[in-house]
Amino acid sequence: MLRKLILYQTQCLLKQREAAVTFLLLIWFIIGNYLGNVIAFRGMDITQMYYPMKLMTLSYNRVNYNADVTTLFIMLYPILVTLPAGFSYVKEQQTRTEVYLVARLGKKNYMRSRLWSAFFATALVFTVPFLLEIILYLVSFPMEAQNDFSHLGMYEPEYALKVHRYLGSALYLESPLFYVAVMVLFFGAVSGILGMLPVAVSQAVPVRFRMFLFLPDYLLLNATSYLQVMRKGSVTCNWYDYLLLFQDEPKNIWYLVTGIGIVVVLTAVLSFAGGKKETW
Amino acid sequence: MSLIAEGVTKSIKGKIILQNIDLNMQRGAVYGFCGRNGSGKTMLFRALSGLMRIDSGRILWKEKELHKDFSVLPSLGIVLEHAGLYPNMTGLKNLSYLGGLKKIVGEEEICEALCRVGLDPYDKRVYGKYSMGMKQRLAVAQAIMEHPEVIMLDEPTNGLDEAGVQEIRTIIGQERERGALILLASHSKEDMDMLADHVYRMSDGCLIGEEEKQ
Amino acid sequence: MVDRWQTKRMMILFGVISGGLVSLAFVRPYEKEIALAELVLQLSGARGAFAMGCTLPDLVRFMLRMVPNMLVVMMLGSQLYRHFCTASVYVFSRYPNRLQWYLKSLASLFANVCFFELIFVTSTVLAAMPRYRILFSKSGVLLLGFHALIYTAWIFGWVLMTNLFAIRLGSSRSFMAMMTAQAVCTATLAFVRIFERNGMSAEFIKLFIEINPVAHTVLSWHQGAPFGEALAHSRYDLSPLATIMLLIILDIVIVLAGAAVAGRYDLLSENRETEED
Repeated sequence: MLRKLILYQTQCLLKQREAAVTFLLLIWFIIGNYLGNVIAFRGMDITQMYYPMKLMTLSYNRVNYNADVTTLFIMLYPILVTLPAGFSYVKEQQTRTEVYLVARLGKKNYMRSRLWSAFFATALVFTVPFLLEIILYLVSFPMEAQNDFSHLGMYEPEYALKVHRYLGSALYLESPLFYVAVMVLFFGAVSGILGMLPVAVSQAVPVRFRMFLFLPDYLLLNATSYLQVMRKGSVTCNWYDYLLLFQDEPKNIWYLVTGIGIVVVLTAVLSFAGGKKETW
Repeated sequence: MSLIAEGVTKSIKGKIILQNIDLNMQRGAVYGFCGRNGSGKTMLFRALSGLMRIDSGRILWKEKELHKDFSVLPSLGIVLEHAGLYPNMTGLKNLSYLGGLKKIVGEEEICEALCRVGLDPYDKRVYGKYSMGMKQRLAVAQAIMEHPEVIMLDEPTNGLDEAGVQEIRTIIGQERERGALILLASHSKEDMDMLADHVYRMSDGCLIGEEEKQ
Repeated sequence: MVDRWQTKRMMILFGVISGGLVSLAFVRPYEKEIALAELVLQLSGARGAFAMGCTLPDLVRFMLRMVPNMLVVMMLGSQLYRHFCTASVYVFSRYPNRLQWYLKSLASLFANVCFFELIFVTSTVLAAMPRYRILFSKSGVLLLGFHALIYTAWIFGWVLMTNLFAIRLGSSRSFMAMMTAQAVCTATLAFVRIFERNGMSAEFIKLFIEINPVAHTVLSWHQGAPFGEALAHSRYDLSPLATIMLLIILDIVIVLAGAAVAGRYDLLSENRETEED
């Protein structure tokens, strides 16, 4: 029953305005980036052209050239990730629709299905546009082009070092296209996990004004950036260094695992606490 | 098939909300609960439905125990004070969403429920624009649309005009005929006199009197 | 009365914490001592003695520096709005002149913002003192005051806009809109690099920057009296006086628009917070 419920609630969430607006905004980012690439690289010789997947919105490799859309995306992501499903529980709580839902489903089923539907809805919203972008670039740009925005040659040791720093570099070396697809799915999954957190917070803590639900993800993600700026280490702990594609800063996989682990544990604890709460 | 409460007690922050409530209610009857504001009627409904946990005692439905065998009554329609629906959806959309959760009824039954309470199923106005009476009618519609075995109505005629009150009374009668167990909380003596087969009086969380209508 | 002091306590606490964090994160001179002027410049994007650039890392870093400001916007973004959410009829029926209420609330809002900025700036300097030797100078103190003035006006404008938009749209949409507007303004600064690379004229680039409100919060892009040497490494020669005037005018426009919104908002329509969907 829980599975059907999650599916149903995910469908309902995806039909809501917030999910549609987020989806359209991401599509807008992608189209903006695409048009910029078309204008910039129109008529360029294939031997000079950059690898098409490195032109994508989520590609950090763009930093070396012009990454205005990526910049905007990085700035907005901590807020955007809350949007598709973050308010789903608090809406029902504030309008007191929760009563009718709990009366039909029981509190546990209701809370769990809310949480999981938030995961799937957010994950889908943050995966589908970028998967579509892959197809768009496959069709529009020559896959034979292999250049990198760092302008390093493929056989230079420095380039090899950079490639080995990509998260999932083994996949990249096997098949760059497969790497991109998997990393986009990974990005979507992490977004889904982040999308659960505000729902869990609203289950545990009474929220009067919905804008405060932007706080959990906004604070967590910016905390990683602040930590990065304050630390002197060479290994990055910035959230976007782990989520963006073709990111060649030195990384530590345990930072990523810890970060995701913290979010998952927080979500579970808050949701559990919320389930124990009685609302009259 | 009966809904039984045995020694149900609940306190909130040290204040006793329900004290040793014993009830034995059968299907096909209307049980009225009356009492002053704050006497515990709404809390009793919350406890009996499973929306609220109790401190001691037990609640049995078809010999199965609430919070042990199930967390909420499996076939329940409830109208509670201050419960609301989605303000930016029409009445039909709101009920369709709720109906989609258990998939017991389809759009046809939902439209029928809306018509029974005197609402137009194809009214394009959203819930947020409804008058208090319309909101109350919609709440009753969501309670009856799935033909539940237990219906709990907390002040269902609040905010309704004379015609609305009559419609709700008719519906309660029809649901009783169908065999539902109906719990009705109301300040209206007329409602109690006309509808209830048994009337319980509550005060300070206790049942202080019972009257069985012939 | 209780609520006002609670807000002030919150501003103090947050000012201290964020001032300390920003100081740790962004005040990074290359040597063990730092001029006060350089410290202030680093609070708005400069790296060491170098003015802020328009590369992705610079802009993302700048946006990161704005995080405390956005949090203040979130905290104070419901100060006026909350009165329109619940009991609005009961509140405003006791204020026959709603404009009077608006101006009174505005004064309180402004005071809270000033309070935060004062605490923030003080905490930043105090947090830097144990780590570096701070060289105070007249131009440094003036620049610090200029920084506090600009950022007070900046934050006040955003806080007020968030409140006013929330009356119409609800708190989450309002904050989202403000956040997006600020992010877009910051991200469009990336075009400056393209313009520079394509050899566009300095005047055009300066004009492009001048019409961007975010640019006016980057102190290392300003030059001129009375800061003299303090802004010697200015990148785009924005005028400090023009910046102050621009921000004050923007705030006045927002205040006037707010008077119209707050004064004429129909109290009998929905509670935006619960009706937001």
